[in-house]
Amino acid sequence: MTGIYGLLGANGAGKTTLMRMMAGILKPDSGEILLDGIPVSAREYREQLGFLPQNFGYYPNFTAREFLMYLAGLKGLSKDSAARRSEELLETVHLSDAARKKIRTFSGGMKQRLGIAQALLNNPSVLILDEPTAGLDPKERVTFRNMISGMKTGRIILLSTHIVSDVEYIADEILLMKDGGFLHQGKPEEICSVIADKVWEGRTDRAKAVALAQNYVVLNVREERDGIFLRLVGEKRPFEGACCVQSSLEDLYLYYFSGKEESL
Amino acid sequence: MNLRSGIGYEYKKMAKRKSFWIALFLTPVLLVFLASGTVFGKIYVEGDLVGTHMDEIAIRKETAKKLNGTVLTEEFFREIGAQEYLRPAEGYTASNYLEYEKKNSSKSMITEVIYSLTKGQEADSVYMSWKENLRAAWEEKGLSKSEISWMERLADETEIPWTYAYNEGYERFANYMPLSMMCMAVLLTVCLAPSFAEEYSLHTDVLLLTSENGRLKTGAAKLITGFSFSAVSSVVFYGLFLAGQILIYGAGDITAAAQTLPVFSEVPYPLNIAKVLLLLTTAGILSGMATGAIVMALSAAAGSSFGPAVFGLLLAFLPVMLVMTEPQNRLLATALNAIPGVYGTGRSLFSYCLLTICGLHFPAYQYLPVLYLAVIALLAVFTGRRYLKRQTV
Repeated sequence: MTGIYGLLGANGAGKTTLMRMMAGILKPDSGEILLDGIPVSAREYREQLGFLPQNFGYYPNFTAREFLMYLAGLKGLSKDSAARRSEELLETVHLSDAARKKIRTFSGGMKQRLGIAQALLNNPSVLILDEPTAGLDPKERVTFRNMISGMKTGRIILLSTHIVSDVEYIADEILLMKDGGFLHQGKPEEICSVIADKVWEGRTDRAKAVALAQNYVVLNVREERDGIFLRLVGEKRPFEGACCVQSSLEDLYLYYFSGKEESL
Repeated sequence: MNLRSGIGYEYKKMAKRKSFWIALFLTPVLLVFLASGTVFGKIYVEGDLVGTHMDEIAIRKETAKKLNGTVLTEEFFREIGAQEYLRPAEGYTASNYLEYEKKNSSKSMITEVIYSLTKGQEADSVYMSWKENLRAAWEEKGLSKSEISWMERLADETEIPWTYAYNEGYERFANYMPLSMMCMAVLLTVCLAPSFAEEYSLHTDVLLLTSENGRLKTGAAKLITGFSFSAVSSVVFYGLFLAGQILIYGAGDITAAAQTLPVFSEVPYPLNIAKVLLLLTTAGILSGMATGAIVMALSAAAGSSFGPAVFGLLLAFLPVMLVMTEPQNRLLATALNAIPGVYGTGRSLFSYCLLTICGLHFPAYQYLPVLYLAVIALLAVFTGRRYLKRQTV
């Protein structure tokens, strides 16, 4: 049960709605969400929950330490343990030097790191992270990704994103979402098998490429001196010389979330 | 986190807003500015500066030393009525104005009392005239016979003759209640409009609502902070304003009958000035708490502080205009008197609109606080529910 679950889907797929329902701040139209029999609206559930929302909110005039101390109190920590835990987490997310600075002076990456720190204050067994890497530069994203990966022992981490590489390397299981429902669920290699033997690469001319875009999902296009390099998904070999290659999670994502007409 | 700590953090959030400090500084300044005309102004006679209002106040305070404790018998009223105002033969000049003010001050100070009780009519008995004027006013306003006789009985209970005391400071305090409450309402609106709405606009509501103590305890902490701030700031605000009036006009005698102040001449109840001041400040505090409750309820229901702030400011300024109007319809008059900002003035507290239950009559100063407490409690419940049921996508 424990491990990192990556929720992958395009904007509007319903990831945030699902996460908010799981965090107990949005009521499902029907049904109930339980963790070991505990409903998400119960205080006992919130005791075990850490949540980093998509739009991470903060008090701009609070310092990082004040902010963590306040939220630690809200999460039921005593004053002493709140102080200790805040220091530990500031260290973990590399914000110790900025502990006395007002949050409004923080960069996007620092704010997100503070966001993850607040979500971990109560040492949650369920950690819900909604688009935690949004707005981060590539270097910060990698740092953040590694940080999350190091936290998975003993807890369930639900990570939603529309950036494939965020979950590709760290998720133990991937849930592919579209239009409010799940398309696929499984380990990254299992889920990629859906399009195994259907990903093709090769060079062709422009006219042929345009024609192929009508029937295949074009994953990648690169203009070259002697034609156009294509990577596409389809049941049959698209043209003479095209070879079948190993599928990736990104291929699967594009297969489901990009329309054929957008391909070229 | 215990509730006390939660309240501490709510105050901290408030204190970290610039708008809080600006409002806290500007609202008393606004009141002092609006109220200072009658204190710091200058007096001119035919274009010549003859003195200041402070000179006049000094003369009245000096005269009060002789008048204080005087029993206001009918004989004394007649004696004062028979006196002529002394006027300089050459007319008022810059050099004689204050001198004649001093000579006439006894007569003019007592005449103010007589005039307010008799409404300027010639009368053999000032007290009889007062009661007749009260009865005429009640009949004109359509009070039932039972209500009139109940009010008359109370008027008869006032211990006549009254004793004079120079209590101008308290009269000013009462007269400035609408303005004081307006300033207070502005302060409360600015400080409390963001209490819930800021969490929504900053997106911190999600963090609060998903934490162990972020629901009931935080909701309660916010409400307690709002109400305690409304109550404490009102006490300090009115307390300082009253202290300022006492500093300028003197402490007077708060055991004197309320009716010796012209502003309360239409009050039939056997109350002294101390009780009236207590009723006024209590009503002012409740009025502030109700304003705070309304603003917080709107704040919990809205997505940003703007709407609650605009509504709160309207609620602050509207009563200053409404306090001038006096509807004939009794229900409308009662509703008007119950509006925060109007409630807290003498006109509202000692209104002719009685509440009658099973033949028992209750004056406005008794039933309005009960109504206010009920409304404040209902608004608190509504606010809490809106906060807890908040759902965002």
